[in-house]
Amino acid sequence: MASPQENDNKPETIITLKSYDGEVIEVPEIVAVLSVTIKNMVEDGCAGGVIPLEEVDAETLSWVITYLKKHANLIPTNIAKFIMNKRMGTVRKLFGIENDYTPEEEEAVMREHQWAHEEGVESDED
Amino acid sequence: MSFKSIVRELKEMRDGIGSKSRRGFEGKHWRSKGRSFIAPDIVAAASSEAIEQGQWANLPPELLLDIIKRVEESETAWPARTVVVFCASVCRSWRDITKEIVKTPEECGKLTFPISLKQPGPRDAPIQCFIKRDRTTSTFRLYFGLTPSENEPDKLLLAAKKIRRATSTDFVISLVADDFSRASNTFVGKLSQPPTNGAAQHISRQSRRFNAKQISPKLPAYNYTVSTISYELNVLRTRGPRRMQCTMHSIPFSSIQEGGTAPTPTSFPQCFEENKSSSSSSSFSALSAISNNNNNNTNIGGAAAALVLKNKSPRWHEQLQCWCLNFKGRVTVASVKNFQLVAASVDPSVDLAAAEQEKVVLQFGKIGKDIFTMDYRYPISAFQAFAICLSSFDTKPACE
Repeated sequence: MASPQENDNKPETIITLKSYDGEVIEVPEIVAVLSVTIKNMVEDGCAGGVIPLEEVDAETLSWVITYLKKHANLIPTNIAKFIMNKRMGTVRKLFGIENDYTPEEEEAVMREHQWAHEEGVESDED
Repeated sequence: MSFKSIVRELKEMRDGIGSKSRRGFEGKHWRSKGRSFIAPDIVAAASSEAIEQGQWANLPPELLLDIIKRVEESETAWPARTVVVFCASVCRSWRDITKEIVKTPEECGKLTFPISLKQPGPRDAPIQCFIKRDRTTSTFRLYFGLTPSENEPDKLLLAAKKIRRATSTDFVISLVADDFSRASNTFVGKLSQPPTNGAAQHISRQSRRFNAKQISPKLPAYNYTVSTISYELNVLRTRGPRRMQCTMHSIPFSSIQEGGTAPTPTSFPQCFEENKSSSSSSSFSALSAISNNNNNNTNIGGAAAALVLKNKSPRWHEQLQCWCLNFKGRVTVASVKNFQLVAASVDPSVDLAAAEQEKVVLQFGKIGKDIFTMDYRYPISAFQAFAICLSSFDTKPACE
């Protein structure tokens, strides 16, 4: 199933943040933009260089980064847990997804679904 | 869309919804099994109030990849691993991401999709399964796991039904235990005995041959013979061990040499439009070509020839007065059906490393009444292993 994928070689975008007292911290963009303030600055075109945070000292900045990283990790995990308990229609609605399978793909998906839920129970058991 | 709002909503939903789990699909074309547990709709109603359509739309692809990766990494065992199949069912982009993330059984030792059953097992250690025989329905079920578990349902991998005909016995093989119809998309193959003629009758008393075929109901062009299995019964018949030989038509001998690989299909054959190229259809064409070549041209030699597996000869144990094989605890009841298959060197011009000659590619044996273990590894797949084991269930000589 696994084959080389282009994304494996793409480096994740790094944002550089600087506290007012000169501390520089590098953070993956996906984490940094959890802060609406930073996100706005990135969208305004500051991402090329260093983003200065005039009102944040080094210690506070490092706490903030720890918090953002923890939540970036939590979000995918929570979404994953959420998905695991949901029905197909609900998940599609939530993510704004349409069923875009061809009839052949639909058949393959059905086959997988039947097999994945198969427990091989005797027919006279409930 | 703000991630903070997602986190807040998740917490609200988690608190409001609770932790009921459901396994069912909406839509009338999904057939949920009798054992699937569907939570009461009262919960669905509560959640739908909290959900707006598409509020998580346009999720960044790297986040979606991260989510699906976490799902795949956390749910490694069945039945929880169904959620990975679920992710691959949502839509095309989810399916593509999921299929890229999930590794083959050879790479990770896990079975995830039905196609995993057609892919070679791991090189270093076998995948361990067990087979349950039901004499009343003449069915055989292959499950994942060391032995039947007591508390949890076991994951069914394949099921087979024995069909007695006038002159031979066939086994039909399916992905599900309640549908052996050849027209169904869960039908995967069969094991059958080629017809014998009168002149060969004296041989048929002492030997049995079976063909294991992979079958695609709507695409007969992709049918091919997976393996030819032959049994030579010991001259002493009821006393000595029998000899087995399996010619694996789709696996070249080179697969077990240094740097060799075995064919690894990535999907079941599908109908494609004329000008669309697909790696899966070409991988099946290649499989058919290899097997057709091996079936038609027995003069192919060397590393391209079909891999032949033979059973390890048991040793006579003088004190116990019986034939013994070291099954490493996985087989506990003596039976003429028990066997271990290793690669055989049939062409003296090709090298077979000593280490490869010792590796048990397939091991099958009894552990209880109607329960057998089946351990298989590279280069064969679960489907091939199961078909070979099924042949072991029907080798009573005609004259007995």
